[in-house]
Amino acid sequence: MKLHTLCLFIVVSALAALGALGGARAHPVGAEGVGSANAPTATPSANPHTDGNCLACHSQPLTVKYADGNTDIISFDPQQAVHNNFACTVCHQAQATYPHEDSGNNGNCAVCHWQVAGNATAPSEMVFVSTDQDKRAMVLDMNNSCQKCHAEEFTSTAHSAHAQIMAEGDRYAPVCVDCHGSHNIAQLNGSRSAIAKICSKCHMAEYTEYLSSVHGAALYDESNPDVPTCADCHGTHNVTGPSDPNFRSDSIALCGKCHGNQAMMSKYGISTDVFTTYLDDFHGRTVNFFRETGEINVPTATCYDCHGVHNIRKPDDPLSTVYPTNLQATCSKCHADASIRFPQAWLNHYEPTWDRTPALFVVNQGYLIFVPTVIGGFVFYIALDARRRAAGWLKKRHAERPAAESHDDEEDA
Amino acid sequence: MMMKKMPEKRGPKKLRRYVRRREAMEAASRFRLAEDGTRYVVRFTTEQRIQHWILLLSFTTLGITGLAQTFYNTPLGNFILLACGGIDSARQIHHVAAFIFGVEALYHFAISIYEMFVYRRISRIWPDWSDFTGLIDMLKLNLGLSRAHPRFDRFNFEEKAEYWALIWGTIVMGATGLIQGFPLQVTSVLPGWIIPVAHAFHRWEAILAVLAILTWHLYHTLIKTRNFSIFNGLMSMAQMEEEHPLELAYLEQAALALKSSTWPALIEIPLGEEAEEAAAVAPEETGRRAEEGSVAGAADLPAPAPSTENAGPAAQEVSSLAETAESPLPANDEADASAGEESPSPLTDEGPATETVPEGEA
Repeated sequence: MKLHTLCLFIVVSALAALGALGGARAHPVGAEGVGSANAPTATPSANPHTDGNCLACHSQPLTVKYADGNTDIISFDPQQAVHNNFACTVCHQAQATYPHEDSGNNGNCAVCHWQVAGNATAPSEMVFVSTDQDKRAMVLDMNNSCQKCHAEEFTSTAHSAHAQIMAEGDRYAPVCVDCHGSHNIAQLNGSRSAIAKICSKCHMAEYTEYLSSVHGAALYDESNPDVPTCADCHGTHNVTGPSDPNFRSDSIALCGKCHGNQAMMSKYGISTDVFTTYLDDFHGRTVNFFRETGEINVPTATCYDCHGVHNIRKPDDPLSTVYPTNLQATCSKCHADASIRFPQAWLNHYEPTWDRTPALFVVNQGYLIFVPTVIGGFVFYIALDARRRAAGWLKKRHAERPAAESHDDEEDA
Repeated sequence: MMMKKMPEKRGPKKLRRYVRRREAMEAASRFRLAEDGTRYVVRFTTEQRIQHWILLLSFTTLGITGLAQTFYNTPLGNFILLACGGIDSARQIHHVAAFIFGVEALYHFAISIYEMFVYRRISRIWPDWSDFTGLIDMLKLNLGLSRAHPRFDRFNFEEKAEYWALIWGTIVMGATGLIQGFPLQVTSVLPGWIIPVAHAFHRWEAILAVLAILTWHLYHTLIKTRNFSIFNGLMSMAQMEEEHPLELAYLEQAALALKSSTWPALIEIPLGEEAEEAAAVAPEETGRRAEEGSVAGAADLPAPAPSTENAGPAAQEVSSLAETAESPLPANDEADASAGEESPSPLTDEGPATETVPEGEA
């Protein structure tokens, strides 16, 4: 609603402005006479100098020359996109007038047309000069127009890992249009596999690993709706990764979101004990405490330190980092010189049972009986003793109050 | 305080026993007269009190920082860990306290070995049959089956239970703590399942130990009575008479035996209720060394000479203190009552009390 009003306003106001200037534009190239007299008076379909007819020029390949001297050929290829019913100027606001405002040479036709070739009759034979340093500068500039409508998503990228490397000086860090496209913006809803493909444009190594993982394989082979794709772990607009100091400690909640979910895990025969046993163990307790207190750079093992990151596989997959024969190497990542017996100290996420860990089971069950027995015996003895002493004390007090008669039975005083 | 006791012949009311001169002097040296006239018995030496302080502080630290880690997801545990500066800091504090505790435990072990094998002093803390009878008698008393309070020696069964529980706990906690502290080294020789088993032991035993201290120890030292002897070293005569009457009787008799000129001297310890009236002492002059002669140290033997010879100036002072202060020593007028002969007569109605004494020791 608001969006359409805005668009309408822009278009109408642009039309009005251009209409007012119509007379001056009747002979746009005439006066200065730069180049030659045969200016492009013959435009292909319509007069480019009237508004609302962008495609008159931009459906053809146009050569643009950036400030750094490089040239590029741009053209608009109409595609099915979610913004199809928007006017160009909704985004290209600076180009709402003609000559375009951002050309920096309003009214100076020669700047664009200075090198119109001798017999040029079409815009495609012209070279247009941009004030942008290069194509990336133009993209980054145009990208700002997204926030006019998508302010929430736009601002949520501000603290993302992508914005961070942008701030560090990498101009090619992804912005809106790099992931969503510019003119061909498509809805990603419901197509989770498309998300990973988008990320793969830059993160191909991770993508390849992911495809072979239990998660990625299920996503592409079975269209499994439960497995995580990139965005499920790393976020969408607020993309985070290991560069985020909290990512490590928060990752256990990330994995726990699904692996602690009884309903979801039961579909795949995975026990949610994996999450609770981790939290009960040394590693999990430490990491969880760090997470709750907001400490960063947790050195203790999280889920992905053992199970892998993008290459997570089933534990019974011989390629898995937690496959029995691989465990020693996995432990050794942190515990250098871990012996072949060292991984046995880990209970593989199982609660102690008689079958799996008889010694531990016996100790736990034994103490479960022993402690209440001993302490209960203590308390029983103490209660008897205290009762007798209290009774003696009361008796003595009672005896002393009415008469100063003292009893001789206070052997325990 | 050796335990060389003569086998009781028939009279259950007195315990006859030989003391060596060193023991007698030690007994005498344990009486104190405060400035206000209150009489005390030294129950713990300064060194023992320091040991207890170290134990108290390190145990408390270990318990707090350890249980906070076990119950880290409770508000209190979380609070403690935060107060420690995080879970890693809490672990470091735990390890430092464990080191101190371990050093103290090793010291205690070493000093006990020294006392036992070099100084040839058998600690009174070893369990014996009287502990069992003491427990039975206390239960009978508390259940109303008897009205006689058992008379305890230096350590009653409650204190011995506390001590040996501590020893057991120290062994378990020390071993399992070290196993957890060095998992790589342990698993280089032992199977890996040792680690979680040690962890389970450590956790359970800690809960047991802390609960035992909070219930058993604090009740017997702070609630049912206020026994601060482990802090100031002293116990009043009244409290001694109430809680450790047999030890008090022994100390009195042994101190009186200093007047003897023959060692070891035979003393006679009143066991029952008649202890108050029959404070008879028998520093018997018989020089019988009897069957324990071989055990007795040679240093005890040249006793007839003045005490300065085989004891340092401190001992001399102490013995003189014991005599000048004279406070603990009952009048010695009926001392010539020879051992055992007159004991059966004053048998009163307090029969059960006589059963509680450690006469039937194995």
